[in-house]
Amino acid sequence: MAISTKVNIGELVIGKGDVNLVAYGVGSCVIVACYDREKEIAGMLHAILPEKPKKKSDPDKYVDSGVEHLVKLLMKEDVSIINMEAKIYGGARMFDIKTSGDTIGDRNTEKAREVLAKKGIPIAGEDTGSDYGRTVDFSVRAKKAVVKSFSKGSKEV
Amino acid sequence: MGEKLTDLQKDSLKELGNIGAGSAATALSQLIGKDIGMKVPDVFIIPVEKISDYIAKDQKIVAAIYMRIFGEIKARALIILPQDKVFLLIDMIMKRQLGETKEFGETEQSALKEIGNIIISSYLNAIAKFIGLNSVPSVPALAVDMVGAIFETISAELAEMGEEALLIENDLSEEVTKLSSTLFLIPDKDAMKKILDALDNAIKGI
Repeated sequence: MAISTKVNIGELVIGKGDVNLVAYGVGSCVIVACYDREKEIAGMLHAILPEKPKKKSDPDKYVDSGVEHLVKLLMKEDVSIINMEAKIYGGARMFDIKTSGDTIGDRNTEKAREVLAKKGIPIAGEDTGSDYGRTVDFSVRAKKAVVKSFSKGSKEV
Repeated sequence: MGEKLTDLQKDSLKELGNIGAGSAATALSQLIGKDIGMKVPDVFIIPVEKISDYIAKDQKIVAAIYMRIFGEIKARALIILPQDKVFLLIDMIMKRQLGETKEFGETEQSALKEIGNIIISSYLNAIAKFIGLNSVPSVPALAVDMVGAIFETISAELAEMGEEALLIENDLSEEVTKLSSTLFLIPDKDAMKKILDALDNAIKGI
């Protein structure tokens, strides 16, 4: 039985071996799971907003600084960037209220794609957008997540 | 923000919540033809990323009716209903037999939005009268989903403006059917100061 580790809002957690990294009730936040293609090691970021304002500390609250931090931590664990792959989840629009421009969910997902592309880390899977919340249960061993939702059931990504 | 409320401010905000909730309870009571009780409101300032942990300790499914508030008080208002009580409320509003509603179709969804609209508007009107600041709500939006995902999304909106948020939490309930709902008023950073100043003046009788 794998050990489950909860990844709260604004947190970044690294897991090795038979471990599941779990983010509950993900709405507009984005989850970036980055892992080694071969070894059993992965990190999960649960970011709230796309970009870190210059004055703020707390890098794991934001997609740009959070992904940067995630990659750095994996490299510290001897994962080479050329062996990294990522999957992204979340970024929903929970409420249909007209706002000017893209919703936070859309901007989060877009930023995650952009930062990963810049680093040359391929996105191997994605379950993002739409209008429902997700629980993301990512198995470090299997390198994929069971994504559970209330209205759309569950699927593997 | 980064500030703490004084006891007096906390009490004034609770009183404000009471005034709003009293009016909201009356509106709801008229809608369903039953007495609605309310608790003393809870008032707290909390780091935005903790809101979801604090309020949504589990991943219960709830119905959430959400409105943005514009005008002199910019805020967000939210009503949370536990999933098992939503159908009951719809039965009461639509004058159906209790237990009759079993699906969440278009009619049920718009009924629920309308209930939210009426309750939140009553709440806001009472507050506006008391502190002399006017506000205009947006059209209501509805989500039926994990409570965590709902609050997480609101946290993200608040995080764009500041690190902490003020929440005024009101519980409204009906004793016989155990219908319960929670109303949250979350003023924007600037609105909080305006509200506190206006409350100060209202207390002094200016």
